[in-house]
Amino acid sequence: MSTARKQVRLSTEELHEVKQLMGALLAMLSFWSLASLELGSSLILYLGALAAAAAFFFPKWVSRIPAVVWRWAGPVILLVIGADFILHMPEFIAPLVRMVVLLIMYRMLAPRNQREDLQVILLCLFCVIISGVLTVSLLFAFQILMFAPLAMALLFIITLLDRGKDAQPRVLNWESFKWPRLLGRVWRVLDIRILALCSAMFIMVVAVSSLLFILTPRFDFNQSIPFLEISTSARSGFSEEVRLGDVSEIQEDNSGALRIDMPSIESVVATPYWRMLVLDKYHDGRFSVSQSLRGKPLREFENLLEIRSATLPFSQRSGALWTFYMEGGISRYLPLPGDFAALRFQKFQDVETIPDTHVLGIDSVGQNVFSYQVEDLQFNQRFEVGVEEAKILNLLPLKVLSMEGLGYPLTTMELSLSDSSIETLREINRSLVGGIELSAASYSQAATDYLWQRFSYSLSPDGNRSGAQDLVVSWLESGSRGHCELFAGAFILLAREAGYPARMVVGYAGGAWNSVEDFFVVRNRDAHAWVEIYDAEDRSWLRVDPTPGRGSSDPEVLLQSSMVFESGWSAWVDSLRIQWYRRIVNFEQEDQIELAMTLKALVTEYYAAFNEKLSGWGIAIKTWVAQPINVNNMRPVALLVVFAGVLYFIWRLRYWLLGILYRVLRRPKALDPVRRQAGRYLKRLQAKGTSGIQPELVAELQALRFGPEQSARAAKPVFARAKRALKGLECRLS
Amino acid sequence: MADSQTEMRRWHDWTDPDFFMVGRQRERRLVPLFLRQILPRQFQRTRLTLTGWMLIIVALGIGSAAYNTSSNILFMTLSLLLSSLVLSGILSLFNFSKLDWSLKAPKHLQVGEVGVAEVALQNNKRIFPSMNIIFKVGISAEPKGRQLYLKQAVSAGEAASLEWTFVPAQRGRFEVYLYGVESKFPFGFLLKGFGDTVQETVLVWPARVEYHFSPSANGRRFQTGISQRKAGAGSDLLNVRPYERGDPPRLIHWKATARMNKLMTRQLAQEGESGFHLRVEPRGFDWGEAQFETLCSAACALAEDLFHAGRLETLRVGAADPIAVRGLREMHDFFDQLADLDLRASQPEATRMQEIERRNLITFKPCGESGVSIHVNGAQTGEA
Repeated sequence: MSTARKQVRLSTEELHEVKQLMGALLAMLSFWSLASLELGSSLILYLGALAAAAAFFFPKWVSRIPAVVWRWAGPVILLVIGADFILHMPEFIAPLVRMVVLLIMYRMLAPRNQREDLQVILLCLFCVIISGVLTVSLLFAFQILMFAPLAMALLFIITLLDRGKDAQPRVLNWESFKWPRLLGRVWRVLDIRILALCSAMFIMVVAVSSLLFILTPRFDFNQSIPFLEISTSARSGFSEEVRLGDVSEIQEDNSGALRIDMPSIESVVATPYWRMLVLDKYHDGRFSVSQSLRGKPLREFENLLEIRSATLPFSQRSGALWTFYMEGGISRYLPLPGDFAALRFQKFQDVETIPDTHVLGIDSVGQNVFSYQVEDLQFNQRFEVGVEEAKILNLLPLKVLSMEGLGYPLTTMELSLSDSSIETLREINRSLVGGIELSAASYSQAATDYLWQRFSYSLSPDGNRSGAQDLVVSWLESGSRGHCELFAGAFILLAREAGYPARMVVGYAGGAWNSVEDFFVVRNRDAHAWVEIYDAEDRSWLRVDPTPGRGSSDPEVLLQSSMVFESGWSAWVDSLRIQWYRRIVNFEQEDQIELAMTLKALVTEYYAAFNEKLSGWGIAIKTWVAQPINVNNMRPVALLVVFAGVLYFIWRLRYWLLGILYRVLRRPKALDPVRRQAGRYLKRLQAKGTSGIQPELVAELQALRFGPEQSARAAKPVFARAKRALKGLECRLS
Repeated sequence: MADSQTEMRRWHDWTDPDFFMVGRQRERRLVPLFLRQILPRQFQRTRLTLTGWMLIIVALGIGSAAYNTSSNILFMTLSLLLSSLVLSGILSLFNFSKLDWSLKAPKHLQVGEVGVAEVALQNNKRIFPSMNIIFKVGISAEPKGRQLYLKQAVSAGEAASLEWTFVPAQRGRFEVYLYGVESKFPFGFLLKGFGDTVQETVLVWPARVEYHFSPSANGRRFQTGISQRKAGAGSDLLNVRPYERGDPPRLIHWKATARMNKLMTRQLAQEGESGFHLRVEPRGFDWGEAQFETLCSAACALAEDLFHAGRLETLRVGAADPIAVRGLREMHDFFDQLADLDLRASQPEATRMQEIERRNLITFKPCGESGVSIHVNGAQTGEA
């Protein structure tokens, strides 16, 4: 007699319904993955998501679409796709994505047979992959891990419903469809065993794929598919032209911008300033990179894998490595706080360097994370001026007013303002310095003190612009609060009027330590603008941060900053992100070799330890054997023998002992171990089929189970015969 | 009658020792069993399906792109695809494990009669069901075969069966094949097949044919009032004898069976006239192909009708021993011989002495181009 209980199963109609709905779910997942791409296809994506949601939640509505629509939809979609490609040539990615979205929508909404189900799976897989390749974000990991079981479940249902090539396509009747009914049926089918089995299978798939990912050999052919590299525009606060307020706009974003693996937490002493771009020209509320700095000869263009710097003295080189992971869509200029010994990219990169301003950038702003490694990174407060730069800065008169067509570094002294604005600045300078010539550092302190006394920090500045007055000058006259750009801009204008060349620097300042995974994270809210003023005595550019709350007003004084630690849920999510970049995105052949070497070292170590222990035991035994026999020597052996004997007797008397235990615990007679064992044997015999078993044996087992209580001694021969009979049955059946 | 006969002909006799055995017959002979361990008869076939081809192509594409660009995202996707293939292999192994199947086909059929064959599947696993089971079956007329899909899953410890029908068009030996079990479980990447070809032979009896037979002028009759008791289909109990294969179950004498501890059957008496002795002789005449088939059909139909009328004594085909008709079993043996009868096969002629001894002897001769004449004691009494 079979003891298997009848399992509830979904009917064919219900399986078809589940199949259709899962197709819609896959489509929603794929549209979600495409949403992270900034391709200007938002409208069609929203439409697609809406259609997928309708197909999933209200399949009745979708089923009412007449068949003639689907007959004509195919050719129309093909026409639209063709026109899209032609009109947007040579752009390829965006039309491709729109094509895929349209095809998914069509396949998802129209009735499907097996081949069309497979098309849906393929199209959705394409969406998830393309999004992952282009964004390289952690979200891809979640999306692919969600896609895998959904796709496998859909393939499983398709296989269950397969009736061969000659099967008639099924037309579903959605009019009687009700979500509660289907969900109830699915709930009944999904018992705990099935859920456990599915979870185990999913874990197995993830484990095997992780193993394959690690073991797959890597070869660097240093190629790329050009059309798959999508560039985007930089944040306006970090581009070549920054309006007042652009940097503050970035500060409203709390997401991570930069993640840095540094040698240790002590590597950051003071508040770090992550320089990205120097803006030397100012005109009417905008700071920008002058034309002379945008091209040759001041800007160098090269294709490099590594940049080596000769400026760092050997005494400061220790080989400490810093790995930077910059999020996509920020800037093409790399945040660097100072000098370095070497900078390495993952692959050959088109690089633009501006040696005079110590700025380094890549050719375009990518959408995905960009990583680079720096050796012996320094945190400079002063930046050495270039030889040619110094000549120009030292030779010319200190006051250079508005002149058109100036080149760098003269642009750092330019004041393209109205006479009234300049007069305002002059007044302020007169009150600051009183005509005394101060050093750059002293002047900076005086100007910073002036600004701090009169203004407070706020992301919402005040101040009214009057007439032809410059924006910054108006703020100086009438404002009381402002953001970092206004403070920096005001300082620059004042410094230039006073004869000190000054330039704006944009980037990030500060950051926090993520104690979950031990890395440094810089967020977009740390975006900042500060100033570099030329110190003629030292022939260097001195960093000045005139924004209040940033330490001392004296630029020479570096205050020790207390490290901010991030913890909690957001820190944990961030740590996942860094792990994603470290372990998966940047997993290379070297990492494989390192892993293999580590494994080898581990195995060798364990083997050596085991060997040592084994030989130690061997020596101990030899020593013991060589010793004369006495009570002390024999004690351990005796104990061992006694212990083994006890175990043996316990095993032999186990039923009797269990019986006593049950009696002590006052358990009912039905749980008598002899009865239980007899019941077990009967059940096993029943399961295997009692044909071929002696009926006397079955009767004896039944007597033990249901009859009067019998001792374990009397039951043992019966159990032995039952065991032999089971073994014989198993042999015959195998 | 035809339905019950069809039903009867579907299976072996229920008293067969193997009748209730589920699953395949186990090899019990020592040497073949030993050889089978070394050279198993079961074999596995694996073919890629459309889904499988798609997976291969996609994996190749992703793999090429991954190596070309060193993109770990693509390596990750490739790893997931390959691991799903590994999972698919493991699950399909589970699907086929401890699965027993057997083919049951009727032993006898008549030409034009719908035969029903059954494939029985037993899932001996304790936990896992078996799903998406496909049987590849075929018949001699269509050796290529077709696929039968088991619509529902077979839970652990349960059995399922699939029936399919076929209509034999010719008299003779009709083969029914079960080529094995296939499945695309779980994801449809691979079509895996297990098992050796199992074959069952169905003997196809000749079809009935319209005939005309008027034996009253030639059959001898006893004088009125005198009856002859012989075993037949009457209602009086003649004898209680041991059960023989072919005896109808309703005639089993249960009390006698209990007393004797073996199956005993009632033998009923029949009162009636003397019967006929039917003889089919394929040699000695120039039979055409179609005419020979008509001969077999006519012999089959006439014998059946005479048996049901209780007027059939013996049957004989060619040089084979005459069959004394006691019950349906002998009729089936006669039909089997007719089914196997081959126009071209060489058979020794029957001796003349045996022929003389028979009275009321029915014989058959060709009549015209396609007809068959029926003779009783040499005189024509009918035609088919």
